[in-house]
Amino acid sequence: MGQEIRVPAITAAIIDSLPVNDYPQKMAESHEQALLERIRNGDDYGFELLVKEHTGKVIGLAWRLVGNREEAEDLAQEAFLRLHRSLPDFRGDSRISTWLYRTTTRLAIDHLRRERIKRKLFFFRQDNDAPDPVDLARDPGNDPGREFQSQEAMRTLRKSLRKLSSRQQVIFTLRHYEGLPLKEIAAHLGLQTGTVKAHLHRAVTQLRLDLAAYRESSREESL
Amino acid sequence: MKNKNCLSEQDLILHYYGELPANDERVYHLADCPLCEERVSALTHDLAKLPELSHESDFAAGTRMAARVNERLNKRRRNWIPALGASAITAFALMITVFIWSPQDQRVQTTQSAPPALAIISLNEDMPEIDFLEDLELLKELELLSQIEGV
Ligand SMILES: [Zn+2]
Repeated sequence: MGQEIRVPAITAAIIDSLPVNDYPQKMAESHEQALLERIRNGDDYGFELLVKEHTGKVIGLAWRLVGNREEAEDLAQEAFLRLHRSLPDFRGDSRISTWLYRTTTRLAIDHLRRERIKRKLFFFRQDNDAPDPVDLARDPGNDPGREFQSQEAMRTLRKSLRKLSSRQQVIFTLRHYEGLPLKEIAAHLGLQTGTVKAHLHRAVTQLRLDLAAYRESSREESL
Repeated sequence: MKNKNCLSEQDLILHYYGELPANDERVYHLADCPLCEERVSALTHDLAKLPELSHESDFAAGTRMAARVNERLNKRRRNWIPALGASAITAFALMITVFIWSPQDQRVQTTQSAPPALAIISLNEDMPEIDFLEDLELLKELELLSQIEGV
């Protein structure tokens, strides 16, 4: 006769109270806590592991926000350095991934803002026919997925995004490409949801105008 | 024809991104208004044309980033020691000077104040070197630009 396996009442209660989908998250949280503990105890390899685990996502986000692989890696590096500085105060009230997401987004806004000032100064000093320094810095050749995308469409998108304010550009990218709800974007950027909505509206309107102009000029060229 | 219940452009965009509550009256209006329906499909069509920005990280990216970050952290640690030495010497010289020149009744108070070396070190640590200098340079240029433009 097979013996009945009895689950202790407390264990059963815990298992029942956890939705199935929460398991990976709970495991990730406890893994993260264990890593943080190692780092606090002076284990440098713990921080190295943490960097390795988050690099892909952080660089991916930074690349979508700034459009250049090298700049994205620099932003990611800065985010990790700031994380290292903040670790002693890390209380675990937010996940490391959330913290990195927020920091990378804010660093990207600062970076885009500086880039816009640089461009403004450049065009002030040069004649308007000079090539855009940001165009020169772009690396369309390094854009992943280039085999599948029209380089021209990508160039138009990047050019149009640069017409937006740095905040509008980031808000649009986070909503459209990252799929982040507006409430979360507002929390990340420390803005009111209404302000985020208005920025998204202006961004989409500008992009649609530019894309329509681009389609019109392509049609004329093909005739 | 557009009526007063027709959605604003902003609301259409919010609807496209699923940011309007399902029981919102604007959503009910969309179900009944051919004009708004047409506007939604035009918006959907335009946004669907945007290129994808899919990013594929290579396998070694994490290792490279960890090495970069580690190098910067080690550099910072190395810079700490000379900074500590220089700050301590400066602080010591300052304390001696203050001690020699201050009136007798203020001597005790001066020597008991917090060591300035600590303040100097924490400033050095918090300063993002390159970004800070670049920002400073840009600010100067921007100031110049706004003076010229009369902004
Ligand atoms: Zn309508």
